[in-house]
Amino acid sequence: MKDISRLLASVSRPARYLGREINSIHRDPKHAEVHLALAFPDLYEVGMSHLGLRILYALANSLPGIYAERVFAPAADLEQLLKEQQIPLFSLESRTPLNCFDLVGFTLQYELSYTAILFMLDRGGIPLHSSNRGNDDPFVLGGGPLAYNPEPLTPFFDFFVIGDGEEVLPEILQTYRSWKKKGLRMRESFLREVALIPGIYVPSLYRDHYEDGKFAAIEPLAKEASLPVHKRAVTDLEQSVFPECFVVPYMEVVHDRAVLELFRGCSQGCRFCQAGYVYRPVRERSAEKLREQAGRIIANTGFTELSLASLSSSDYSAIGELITSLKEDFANKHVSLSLPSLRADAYAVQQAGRLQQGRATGVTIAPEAGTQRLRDVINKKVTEEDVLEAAAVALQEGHNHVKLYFMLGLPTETMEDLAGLVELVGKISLLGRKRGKGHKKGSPLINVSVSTFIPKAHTPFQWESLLEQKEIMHRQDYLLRELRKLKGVAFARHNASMSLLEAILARGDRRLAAVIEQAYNLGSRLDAWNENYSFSRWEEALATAGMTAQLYTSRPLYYSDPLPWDHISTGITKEFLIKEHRRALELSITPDCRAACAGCGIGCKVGITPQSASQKAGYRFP
Amino acid sequence: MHRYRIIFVKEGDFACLSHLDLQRTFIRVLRRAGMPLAYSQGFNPQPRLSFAAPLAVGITGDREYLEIDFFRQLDSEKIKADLNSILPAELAVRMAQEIDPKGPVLASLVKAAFYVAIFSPPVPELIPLVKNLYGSSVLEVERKGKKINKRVDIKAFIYNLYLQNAPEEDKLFMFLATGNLGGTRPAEVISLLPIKSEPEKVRRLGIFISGNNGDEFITPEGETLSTFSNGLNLNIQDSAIRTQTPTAY
Ligand code: SF4
Repeated sequence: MKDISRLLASVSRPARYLGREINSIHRDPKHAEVHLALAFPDLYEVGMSHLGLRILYALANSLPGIYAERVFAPAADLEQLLKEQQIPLFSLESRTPLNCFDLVGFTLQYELSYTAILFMLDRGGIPLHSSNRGNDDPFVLGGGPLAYNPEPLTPFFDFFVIGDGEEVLPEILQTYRSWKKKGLRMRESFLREVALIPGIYVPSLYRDHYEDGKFAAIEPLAKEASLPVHKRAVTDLEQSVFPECFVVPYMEVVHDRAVLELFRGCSQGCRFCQAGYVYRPVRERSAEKLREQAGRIIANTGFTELSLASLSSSDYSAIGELITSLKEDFANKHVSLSLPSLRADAYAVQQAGRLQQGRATGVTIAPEAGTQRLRDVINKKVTEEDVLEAAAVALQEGHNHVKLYFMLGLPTETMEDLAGLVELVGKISLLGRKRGKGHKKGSPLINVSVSTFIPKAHTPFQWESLLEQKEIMHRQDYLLRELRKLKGVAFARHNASMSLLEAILARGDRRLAAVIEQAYNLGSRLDAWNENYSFSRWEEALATAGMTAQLYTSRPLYYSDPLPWDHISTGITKEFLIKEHRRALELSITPDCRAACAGCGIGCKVGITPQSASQKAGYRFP
Repeated sequence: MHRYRIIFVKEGDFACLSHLDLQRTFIRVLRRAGMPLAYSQGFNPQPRLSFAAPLAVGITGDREYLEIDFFRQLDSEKIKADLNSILPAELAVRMAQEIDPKGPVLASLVKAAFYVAIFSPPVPELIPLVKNLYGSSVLEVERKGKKINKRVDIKAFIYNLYLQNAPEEDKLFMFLATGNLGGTRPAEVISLLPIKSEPEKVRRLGIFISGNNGDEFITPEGETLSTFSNGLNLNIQDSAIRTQTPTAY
C-alpha cells in the first residue's frame, strides 16, 4: 500500500489510480465469498465513461457475498514503475493485486485494446494463457460487444459471456460460489460447469480447424460445449438493474456526466453497424422509470450533466414526453441535459435543441454517406433534404460548430460518392455562411469527420472487404484537397493503418492470438492512443506468424464460407444477413423494424415489434 | 445570501488531486449534499466557490479554506456533518462557519503560506546548503510560460526558511509569499538546493493574511505568525535560518 502511495506521487495524472471516489464501494475483500475484478483494458478516463462497467459494478456489489472492484490499464509511466519495482497491477478500491481475485472480467469494447488486456494480465501476475493458469490463479472472463467474435482472444480467456452481462453475471457468480464451496480445485471442473450456463463460451472446450490456410470449422470437444452459443439478453429492461449511485470521478473523464439508458438495441438496421445487429431487439425503459432514475442519479452524484444515451436516442418512443418531464424536474437545478447520439434529421436536432435550452454550442449530424445511392446501400434512411433541414435547424438554433460524420470505403463506394460527400458538405457550408451574414455568431465551423468503413462480424457487410491502404489514402487525399476549397470547413484524416489493424482483429480467427501476443511482446500497448501506436510491430508479428493482413481484410468471402464467429449466435439468422447484403447491393431499403419487422430471426412477436416498455411480454429467445 | 467558510484537510494520497479536480469534487459533493448553492448570473451560471489558495499537486494541506455562497442559512455543524458523510476522510471538513458575505474573500487577502518539507532519511549537509541559499542575493528559478520559459527571482518571496534536523529526518519549514501579489512554492525553493533527494512529504500548515496593523501576518482566525510558529516550536520573528533539535509538534 505504501509502495502504491509512493508511486502515485511520481506519475502523471495520479487521480487515475487514486480510487476512493464518491459512491465507490469499499469493503474488506477478506469477507467476500467471491472477489471479482471488473477490468477495463484502457485508461481510467475511458473506462469510467463506459456505462456497461457501471451497470456490472452496481449489479455485482448488490449481490450478497460478492465484492466487485475496478481495475484499469495503467498509463506508460505507471506501467514502467510497476515493472521496475515488481509491484503487481492492483485494483482501485482495495489495491489488491489482480492475481489475488477469484474472477477477473474484462470489458471487450474496442479491438485496439487487445494488447492492453495482455499487459494487464502480465502486470497483474496472471499467466497470459489460460492453459498455464494454476489452481490459485483467477479465472479470466470477457464480455461486451467484441465477445461476439472472441476467437482472436481465446487462448487468453477462460470463458466469454455472450450478450448482456447483467443477465449472466449473477449465474456465473453463483456457479463459482458453489464450486468453490465444494472445495474442488480443478480449474477444468469449474469451466465445465460454467459452460452449462446459456450464453457462456468456454473456448478450451472447442477446437478450431483450417483448410488451405482458411478457417474451416469449430468443433466442440465436450458434452458441455454447446453449438452454437446463444447470446443472452435482458428481456425486461424496465426491471433490470441500473446504477443510480454512479461513482463520481475526481478527474475529468471522457464522458464526465450521469447517464440514462433510454433503451437497448436499435431498430434502424444500418448495415455497417455491429451494435445495431448484436444488441437486437430494441428494449425500452418507460418514461416514468427514466424520470425517477434521473432524479435519483442526480441527487446521488451531484453531476451537473445528464445524458440520455442509447444507440439512437431520438428514436425513443416517448422522447418528447421524457424531455418535457426532465426539463420540468430539473428547471433551476443547474443540470444540463444532452442527447448524444444524433441522427440526421431535423426532428432529432430539434429534440436535442429543446434540451440545450438556448445554450446551443455544437451539433453532430451523421449522414454517413455522400450520395443517396450509397445511403441506400448502407440502409441509412435519410435523404439529402433531411440532412440539409437538420443542418438548417441546427444553424437557426445558433450552433456554431457543426460536426458531420461520414464513412469512407463503404461497399460499392466510388469517387462519385465522395464527390457527393464534398457537394453535401458544400451545401451545408453555404447554409452556414448565409446565416453568418447578419447573425451575431457569424459563420459556423464545420468539422468533417470521415472514418474508414470496417467490415464487422455479425453484420450484413461481414463478407465485404476493407479498402486497400493505398486506396484509403488516395480517397482521403481527394477529400482533403476538395474539402479544403470550402470555406469554414475542417477535415482531419483518420489513421489508415489503425483501421487496418481494427479490421484484422474484428474478423480474426484463433490463429491471430499468436499475433496479438507477439505484438504485445514487441511493445504494443494502448494502441487506441495515437502516440503509442505503431503498426510496424503488428506487421512484424503477422510476418512471424506467417500470416498477412489481407487474409483477414480483403480475402474474398462467399456466403458459404464458414466464418470464425459462426458458433456465436446473436439470434439473427445467416439467411437474414445474406438477404440484407443482397438488398444492399440492390439498393433496397429495409424499413426501421419498429415500423415493420424485417424477420431477422430474433423473434419479436408479431404485432408487438419490437418491445417498448408498455408492451413488455413480447420477446423471448428461441 | 449567506457565506460560509469551510476549513478542510487534504491528506494522504489525496495530495495528488489537482486544484481543478478538487474544485469539481467540491461542487459535486455540495450538490449531492443538497446544499442551497447560490449561482453566478449570466450565460453559464456557476456555483460561487472560492478557494483561498490553490494547493500544488503533491502537497498535503492541514488547513485549507473554501468559501461558499448559499441562498439560505444553514447550521454550520450540519454543513460539516453532511459534507463529511460524503467526503473521504482525507478531505474531511474540520470546521464550517458563517462569515460576512459582503466582506472580501480570503483568496483576495492571502499573502503567505507556511509549509514543511520532510526529508527522510536526512540530507547530509542540508544546514549549510540552506544557509547558503538564504545568503544569496538572487535566487532564480525557471517557470513554464505558455510559449517560452522565463527565469524569475524568487528571493523576495522567501520570507523564512527554518530547519529542524534529527537522525531520522530533516524538516525544512518554509514561510513563503503566496497570493495575487506573487509568490513561490516549496518545489521551487527545493529546486534551488543542490541535492538529489526529494522530500518524502510536503505539507502546507496554514495560510496567512495581513494583520490589522499591516506589518504582521495573521492566520484567517487571527492567530499571529509568532503564536503560530511558537506552536511549531519555531522562533520565526528574526527572519533567519535556524537549526534546532527536533521537538514533536
Ligand atoms: S425480429 Fe423483427 S422486430 Fe425483432 S429485431 Fe428482428 S427485425 Fe426487428
